[in-house]
Amino acid sequence: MHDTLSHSEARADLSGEDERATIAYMRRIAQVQQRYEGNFGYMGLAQHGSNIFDDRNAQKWNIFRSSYTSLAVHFYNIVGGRSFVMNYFRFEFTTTTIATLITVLPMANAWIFSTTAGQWDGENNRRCTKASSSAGEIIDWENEWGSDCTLRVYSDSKCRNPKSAVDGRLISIKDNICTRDLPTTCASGILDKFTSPFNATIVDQLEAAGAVVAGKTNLDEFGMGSHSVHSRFGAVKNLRRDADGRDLSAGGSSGGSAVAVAADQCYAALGTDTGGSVRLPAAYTGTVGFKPSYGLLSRWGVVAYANSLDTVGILGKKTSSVRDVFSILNKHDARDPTNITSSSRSRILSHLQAPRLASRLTSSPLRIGVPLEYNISELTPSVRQAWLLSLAHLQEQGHTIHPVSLPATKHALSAYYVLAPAEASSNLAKYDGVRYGTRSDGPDSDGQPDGYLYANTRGNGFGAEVQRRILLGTFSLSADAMDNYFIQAQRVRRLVQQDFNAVFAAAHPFAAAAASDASGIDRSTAADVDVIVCPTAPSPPPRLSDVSAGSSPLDAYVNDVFTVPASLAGLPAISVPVTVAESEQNPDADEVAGIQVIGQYGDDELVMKVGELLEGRRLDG
Amino acid sequence: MLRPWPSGAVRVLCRVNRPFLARPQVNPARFPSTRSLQSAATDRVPLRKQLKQEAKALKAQKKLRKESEEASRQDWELTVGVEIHAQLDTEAKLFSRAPTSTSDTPNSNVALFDLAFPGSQPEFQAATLLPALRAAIALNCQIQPVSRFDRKHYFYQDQPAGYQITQYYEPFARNGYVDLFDYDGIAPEDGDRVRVDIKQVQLEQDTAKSQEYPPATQLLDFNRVSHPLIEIITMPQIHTPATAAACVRKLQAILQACGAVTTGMEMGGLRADVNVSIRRRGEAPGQHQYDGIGGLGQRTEIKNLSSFKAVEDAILAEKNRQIAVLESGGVIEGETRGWTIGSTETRRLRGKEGAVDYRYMPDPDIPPLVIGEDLISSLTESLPTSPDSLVTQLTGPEYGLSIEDAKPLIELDDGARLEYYQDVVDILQSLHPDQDPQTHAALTRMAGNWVLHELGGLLTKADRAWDDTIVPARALADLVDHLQQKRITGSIAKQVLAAVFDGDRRPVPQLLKEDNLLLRPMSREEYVALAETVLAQRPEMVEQIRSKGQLGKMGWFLGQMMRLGEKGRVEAPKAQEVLQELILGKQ
Repeated sequence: MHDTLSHSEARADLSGEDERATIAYMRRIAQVQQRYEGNFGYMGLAQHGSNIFDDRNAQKWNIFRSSYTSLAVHFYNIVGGRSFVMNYFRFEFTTTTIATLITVLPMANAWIFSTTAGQWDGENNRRCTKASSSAGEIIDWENEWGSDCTLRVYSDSKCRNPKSAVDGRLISIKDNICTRDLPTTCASGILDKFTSPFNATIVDQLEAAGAVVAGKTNLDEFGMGSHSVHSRFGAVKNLRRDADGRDLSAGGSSGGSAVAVAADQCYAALGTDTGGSVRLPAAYTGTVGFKPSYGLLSRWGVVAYANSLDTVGILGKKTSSVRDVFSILNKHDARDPTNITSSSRSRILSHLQAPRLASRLTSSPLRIGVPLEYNISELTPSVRQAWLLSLAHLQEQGHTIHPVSLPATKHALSAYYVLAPAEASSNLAKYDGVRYGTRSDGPDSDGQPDGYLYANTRGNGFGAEVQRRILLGTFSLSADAMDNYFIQAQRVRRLVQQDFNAVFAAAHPFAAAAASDASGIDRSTAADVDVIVCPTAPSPPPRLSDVSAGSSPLDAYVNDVFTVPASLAGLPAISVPVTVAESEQNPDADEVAGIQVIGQYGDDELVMKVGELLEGRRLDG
Repeated sequence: MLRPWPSGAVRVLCRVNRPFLARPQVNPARFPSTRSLQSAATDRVPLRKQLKQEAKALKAQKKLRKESEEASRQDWELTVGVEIHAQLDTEAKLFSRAPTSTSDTPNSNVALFDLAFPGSQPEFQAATLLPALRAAIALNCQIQPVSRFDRKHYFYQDQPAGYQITQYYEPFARNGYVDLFDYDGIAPEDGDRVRVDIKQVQLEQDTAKSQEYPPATQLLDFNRVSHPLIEIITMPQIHTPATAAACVRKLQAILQACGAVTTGMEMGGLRADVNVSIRRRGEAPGQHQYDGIGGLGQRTEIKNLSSFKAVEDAILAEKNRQIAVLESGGVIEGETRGWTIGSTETRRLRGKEGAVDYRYMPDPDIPPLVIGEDLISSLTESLPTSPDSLVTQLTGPEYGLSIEDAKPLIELDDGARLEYYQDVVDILQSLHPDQDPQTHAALTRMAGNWVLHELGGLLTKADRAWDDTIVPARALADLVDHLQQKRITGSIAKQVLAAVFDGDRRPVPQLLKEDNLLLRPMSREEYVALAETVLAQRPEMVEQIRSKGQLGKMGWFLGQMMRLGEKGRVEAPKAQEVLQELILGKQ
């Protein structure tokens, strides 16, 4: 039985206000009878739901595929499989180019063009002439075959009145962030044909600021991984290669976003950072990766991996571009219940405006903390060298270096790998292929009459790493293990937070009032640093062949050892590339390492500022 | 006298009939219709005889069952704990702005979060808290200043997220109680009052509504997903099936009285699970405990009971099953069981090995619920009077009603009948501000009788729903007043009420006057004359009364006097008096 819901109807329904759109959409689906196959098959509703998506996506994917093959316009197939970009077109528009496009795309009935100027069909397309169209406007245009084309007009910095620092700039979006116009697959088989009916708040914010979504980027499935190899679309490859010319890991899970930035295919990219998923790829690809304080950027429309840790992160070539994007996204969103409210934001602001804290950004030298526990044996010499040189560089600039102790760090990684999978096992329970997503063919439940309706669907849809973490989380939440694992890990998390609070000169803005008396004595004996500087990862990027299938997951987990503590504490942290100069004669032999700056909660600006002091430095040993 | 019920209000008010729960082998009347057909065809027992036999068998069985129940009660102690799920009366769902609805087109009121779309997040609707708080206050609970939401995980297609958001670790209300009285229908062995403690009340989401079309189709309506529910968990302190049913009924009445819920069990707005365990009296306490009460036998849980009768029947059946298992040397398994209406035994749904580990986890997206003292106190103040205090008030000196009249007054028409009654009493009060308490009580009792039975009777007969404008309170008050003042007779009062009910809008005093219905008392002479006329009709009967003392026959003469006399003028007591005098002489 097939509903006659057509593509255009679906679009019309889904383009409205989110909830109303869903209601209308569900109403249509409701008309379709749900059906069990045999005694224990699946519900027709799901099947039908995915059929709708099937049709729409088939068109989209055809378009993308043809864009690879026929056009080859500015398209880099960097990573094998689907690396990142779907619709990257940035060239001057003329009627000729449009005509060319249309010639090769007769099957297209939905298409998004990005033009560099407001006027798309004239000679003077570089001029931002408001008369014909305005930035962000979508123009329906019928081509000579009678099918509709959609042109999206955007302006860039050449326009006289840019809306914002990112007006007209291309931003890549990690594919676990919902976009209405592009599929959101989370690199998972279970969502491989899924398109969200709504935009994430951060996507809306960027588009409202004039930015253009460059495309969706590859990732570890649902953000679970450290090398972007656990993807339905294949592994992401780093642009850099090792001395033997072998492929290197781009880091994960936001590897696609990092490579898109490294390859200059976008101005900046959005990623998500749950335990280091933005910072680690930044370190491996030589880009800047920033994880803001938890709760500053909206998570509405960001597919949850571990809600209490998930943070939207930003990747860019430079800290300045990261800051441009951050300033647009750093706003309250009522739809995300974990988002910091406007009143709390002003509390943080007034807290930071206290003279002692305000001066850190202007005049006074900074107190830099060096966590002794981070000097682990697994640290490779080149990374240790980069760390030392960075500290030396900061010292040269007049800042002071202070050893600090973060004793709970050694338990942080274990705590993270209990908490994140626990939340993941809960969050991923919704993927059953019933209301959306992909169902396995044929009857489900392994042929057991009383079996679950989606045993096969989940078994086939999720990759190995996701299944591993779901099992881990299911175990640690089970009645017998709860106390020893989940509760214990929450305690460790509290200790990690206390560790940080004990070393930072600035009090946690939300704990400031409560803690001023209680910890007054502790504070005087503590190191009282402004930021902590440490490596992002213990080693340079490993070979892709070493981290792909077959290697122990524990080896991959170790890469998160320096990034996880800031995640557990919800603190702002940035990874910036620092180059260790091997020799003047042979710059190709230079080692690039990611150096991480961690600040107190709310000190996002300070963290970015210190990152800027180090970013791109080529330091001599 | 049968109490009239408006057809729309299907409510169980008084004690339900003790359920007929016979074992199959001793149940000859299990399929009465088939049986009577067969018997009619074969041995041709006269219908009347057959009915008599069946009634007799039923009676014998009831007696037998009662005796065996009593015997088993002597040997075994039953313990029951009740969990109630009640749909709250709210506009929006618990975690989305989608409207709640029970009758809208399926899947028309659904937000992204209700369907667990990737990237969607909960948005707690603070207004849903109000009915929940009213319920908790009405159940005498301690409202917790801080409570939290947890995820309860299990896979089922009516559960879009794969988990239900509930309050497991820190519910919003604890330590309440509900008092059950004899008039609530508790078992006689429980005396006239039982207090059942309430362990906790928690807020949670409802699931989607499933509709099964066997063998292969199932429809899902997500309108119900995330409809706010409260779950009320009582302590295991109930020891008879009847009291358990009374407890559920009372909880429903309280929830409805405080406006926390819209519909009751009959509309599916309330569902009950019961925990049942037994233990042999006089033996060492059992090894099991739950909800903080120990010394119990192994319990089983019966899920999803959807009527008061089902609660009572299922507990009785499960108790008997457990006794049978234990008496034959078996062991009770901790398991979940189900109950089908009309069956005689609970059925196993899943055993211990199939028990679901719900993996309760604090919901990381939902902030704690902080409830201020000011909110609680303002809600407490605005809470309507509880049914129990209303009963006390109505049966107290002020109204002097019987419990049998007080309960339906309170429960009928969502309290509208009671309001009407109070209006009538207020008007009567204003007519006679200086009445002595005795006369006042007689008046309020009479008013109660007329509001419930006379007016109710007319409603039933006409098959009309309650409406306080059909017979204005003023009209009924005037009528009752005239009657009590003996200015009209009872039959005239009924006649006038019927006229008003049928739309006569004239004020009652005017109506009585215009239609010449006011009582013109007959003189003694008139009575005597009338009496003599009727006595003359049957002199032999007069003789029988006099000689054989067959006083019962006096009624016939009285009837004749009422019939022959001028309509509305003969007052029965006076006529009786005169008759007695004439037949038996002055006493």
